[in-house]
Amino acid sequence: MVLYSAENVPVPVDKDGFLKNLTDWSPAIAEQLASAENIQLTPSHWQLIDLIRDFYQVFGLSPAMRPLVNYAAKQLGPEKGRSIYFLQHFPGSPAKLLSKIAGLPRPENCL
Amino acid sequence: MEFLSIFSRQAYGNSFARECLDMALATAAFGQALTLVFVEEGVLQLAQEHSTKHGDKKPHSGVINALPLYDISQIFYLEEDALKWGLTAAQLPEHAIAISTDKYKTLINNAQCVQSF
Repeated sequence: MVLYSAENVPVPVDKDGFLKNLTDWSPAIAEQLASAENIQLTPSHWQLIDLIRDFYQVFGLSPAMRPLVNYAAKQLGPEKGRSIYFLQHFPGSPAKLLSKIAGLPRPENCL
Repeated sequence: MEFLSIFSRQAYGNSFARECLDMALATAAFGQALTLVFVEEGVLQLAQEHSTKHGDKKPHSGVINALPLYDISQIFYLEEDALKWGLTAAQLPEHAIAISTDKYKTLINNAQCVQSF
């Protein structure tokens, strides 16, 4: 998959589509990454993208599902602080998929 | 089963700190009752960085700061060891609570499984 920056320059990604340089991310890049996963970004998707980017800013790491869902419960309320809410927006592996689209490193998997 | 994880080394120059943390995260992920105690050099793992830039962070200080989000809420450190290293409560995470040596002994006695790294 090839991503293009605003200046139409190809943006390097790894074999799974994660950005090689986190500074290359932009909302337009997020749209391209989402579209490659057949996801249409709605305002509620963007709220989760902002949430995970905020998490990265605060803690310096990409969250796994458990801390991500707990963080969502804390920041967005109990309705959104549930795995099912994330799965509905970013199916399959929400933490991994969301960190990719949000231009963050892949979450560590300690298990 | 009550688990107790003891962090006694600093995060640099060895893998013990990371391994202890990984064990703790795995234990919590399986829904076990878990308590963490930071003692001796281990209290240094709790010390907050002055800079928040990612590049300056210690290997796992982000996770240490996020521990409550991993459903780990029983986090203690030995007050006398923090003092030895010149650390005040203000330099340590809010979710970490200072304890005395007596309380530390109680925690060890109450746990069924103690892992010390």
